Amino acid sequence: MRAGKLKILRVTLEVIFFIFITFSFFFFFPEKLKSIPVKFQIIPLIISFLSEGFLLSLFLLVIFLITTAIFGRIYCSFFCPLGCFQDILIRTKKTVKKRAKFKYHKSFTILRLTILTLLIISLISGSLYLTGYLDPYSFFGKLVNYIIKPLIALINNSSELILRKADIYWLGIMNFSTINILSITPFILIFGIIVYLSLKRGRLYCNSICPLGTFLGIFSIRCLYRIEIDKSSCTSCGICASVCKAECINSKDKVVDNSSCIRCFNCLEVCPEFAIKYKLFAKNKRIEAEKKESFSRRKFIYSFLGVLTFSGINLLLRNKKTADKTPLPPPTPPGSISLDKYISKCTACYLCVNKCPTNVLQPSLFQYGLLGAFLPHMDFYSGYCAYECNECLKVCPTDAIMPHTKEEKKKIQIGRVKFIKEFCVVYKNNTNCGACAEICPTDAVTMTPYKGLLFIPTTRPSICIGCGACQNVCPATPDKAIVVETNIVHKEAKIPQFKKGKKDEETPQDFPF
Amino acid sequence: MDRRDFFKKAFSLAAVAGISSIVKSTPLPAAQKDSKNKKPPELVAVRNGTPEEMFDEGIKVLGGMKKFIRRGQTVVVKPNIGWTANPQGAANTNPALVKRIIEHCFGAGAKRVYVFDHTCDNCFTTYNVSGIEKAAKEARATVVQANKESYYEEVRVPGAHSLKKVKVHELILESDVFINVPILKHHSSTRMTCAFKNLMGVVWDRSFYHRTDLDRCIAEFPLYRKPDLTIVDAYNILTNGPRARSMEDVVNKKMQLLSKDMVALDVAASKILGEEAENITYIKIGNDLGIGNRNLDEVNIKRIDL
Repeated sequence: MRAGKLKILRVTLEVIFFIFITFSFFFFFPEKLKSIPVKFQIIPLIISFLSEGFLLSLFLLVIFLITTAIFGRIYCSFFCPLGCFQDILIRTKKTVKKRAKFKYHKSFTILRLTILTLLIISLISGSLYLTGYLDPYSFFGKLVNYIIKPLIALINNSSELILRKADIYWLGIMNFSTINILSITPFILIFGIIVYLSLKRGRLYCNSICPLGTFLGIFSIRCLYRIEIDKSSCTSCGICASVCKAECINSKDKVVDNSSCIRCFNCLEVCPEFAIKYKLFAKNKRIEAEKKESFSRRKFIYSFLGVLTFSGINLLLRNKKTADKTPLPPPTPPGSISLDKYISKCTACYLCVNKCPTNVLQPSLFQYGLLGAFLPHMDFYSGYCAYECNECLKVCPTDAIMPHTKEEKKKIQIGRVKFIKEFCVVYKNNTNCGACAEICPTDAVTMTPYKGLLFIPTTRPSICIGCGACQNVCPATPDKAIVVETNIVHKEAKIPQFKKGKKDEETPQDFPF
Repeated sequence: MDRRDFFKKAFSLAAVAGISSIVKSTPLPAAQKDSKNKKPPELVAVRNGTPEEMFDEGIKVLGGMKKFIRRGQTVVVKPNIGWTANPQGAANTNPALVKRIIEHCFGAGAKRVYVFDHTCDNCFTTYNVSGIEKAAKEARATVVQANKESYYEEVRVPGAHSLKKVKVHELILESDVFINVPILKHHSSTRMTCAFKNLMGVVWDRSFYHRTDLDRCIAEFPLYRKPDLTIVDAYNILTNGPRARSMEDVVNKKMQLLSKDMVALDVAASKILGEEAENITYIKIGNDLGIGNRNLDEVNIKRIDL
């Protein structure tokens, strides 16, 4: 294979995937295309398979692992959105500072294995809190939510203002989710690490912290196609090592750490002697190469000790959660089935948050406990769940929100309406209101005659779906007079029997006045 | 055309002519009531046509759109686009009517015609599902969003008791002509939504209305600005509204009302809906504030049967 072509292929696919995946977070992206790129993310596939046993997820997962075993970590340079984000940073730095060069460094094997095992244990113990920050896709989702989308919204909204002054109404105003200092802190921390590492040491994050990088690295130890240096023609000039973002080429010893190689193919085109090649690994060389591998038994053991301490802390956190008796948490999105299931499957990539057209889905703080920190929750103060909408039920890459059709979703009861008469405007002020009843999509809130010409809300919780519209629009202050009480385990709402109108009436033959 | 065809057409024409002459010859009470008045009509009521036909006829009787719009003026057409419901659901104004009104506006020389509503459901879906965005764009109107506070400016409402200040959509402040196009519906707490209630869609803080005194706020808004013309779409009406929940609630009335007098319009509309105007508090307050006349006997009504 010609070296240049491989790099062109990698860059093209990487850019296409990056654009796709970024745009799949936006509401206006074409319906058919938008959910595809997120289905190619490995950790979400693993969660989806482990929790729901979806065969399609398993199938895609196996394909990914087989490809990795054959070609190496191509995910890292082809499909990983966070990888592409780092590549963009590296590229920018290179353009600004022409002499930026990389050097070979030994792999941080113990750290890598520790983080990976930690993640696996936390996965098994039912908390995805770590995954949400360590899975490159889920982290990238947060990046879109906290940085990219607000930026785009800012540009959009300011140009909308200018255009509107010129009487042009092409653009609408874009919303983005509310940003809370508390929930953004861990994100900013890791984001800082990634930016710093990528500017300083290339894709070091992928070879030190990223657990997916480690996982795929293990699979690619004995991959069939490897980057190899032809020892007879190599002059150890180090040019290849200076362009290696993964810092895995040891040009002095003329070996490449293939488990750290992210398959960017930058090295292939720079060698003046054409000594570095990407090719099928010859069998007789294998035994010799394996001695140099970074994953040894001793390192596995060391990392296991590290894991034990951390998993102990994790268990402590988990016990704490069951002990406290706080008031009911806010409802989880329709399709999440129950709070426990939701917490054990959601990695907080905020894809649903960005998709939600009414902005009812917002990152939470600790409403779902410590293990469910920062997961999206139904925030009826910022919006309500639109009856005719199932956007969030179509996109979830980990199936924390299980796919449902619009008709199925209309029967999911995520909570039940509760009316508190003492706070109601009609009761307090003796004036009409009815904001809750007019917005209710199912007739769970209706207006019934009260004093004089007034009407007061009456509720039928059995047909309520908990969409929160009534709570959202209720004008009563300081406390809402109508609220949704969470169903920790979702139920099925009864189908509303609509009151029969005056349909029998015929078209009148004259004006009634 | 062969001979058989000719005969078929001739007979059918004759039949139609015969029937229509019979219909015409029966003395219509509507026509009788109007005959005593020679003044220009203050309220035009049209029935028995498509929304477009009824509007063509109604606006002709009022002297054409040129009476309301001068060349080069900007116009706001404010339909009800509040709900995610298709046109059959009768929760939103009929899109064909909106389109025809816009065409008349441009025909009268309007420079620009804006269409918007501060929707109750998400505006991206209501604009689309109601069919109004498409219809308005086909007629070259500018469809504007109204879902963000930055579109609104605060104004004082002179003489108001409850609604002293209100944030109004900037286009209501800027435009020369304001045309209100409500659909007639039952409303679960105010009993009826029509000319007055439709104006809640040009303000930002609906919650303030609900919190303060819904009926009085609705009645007081026109103290700030009265629409120059209100066209009530009563072709299909919703008898259990304001949200479209079931087709059982839709009644085909085939009517349309046009007037400048919102109070008289709402009284007439309440009769079509079958509600007692006495029970609709905002009509009474609107009458007392001098926004219009609720005594239909004093209003010169022109009734048209198509």
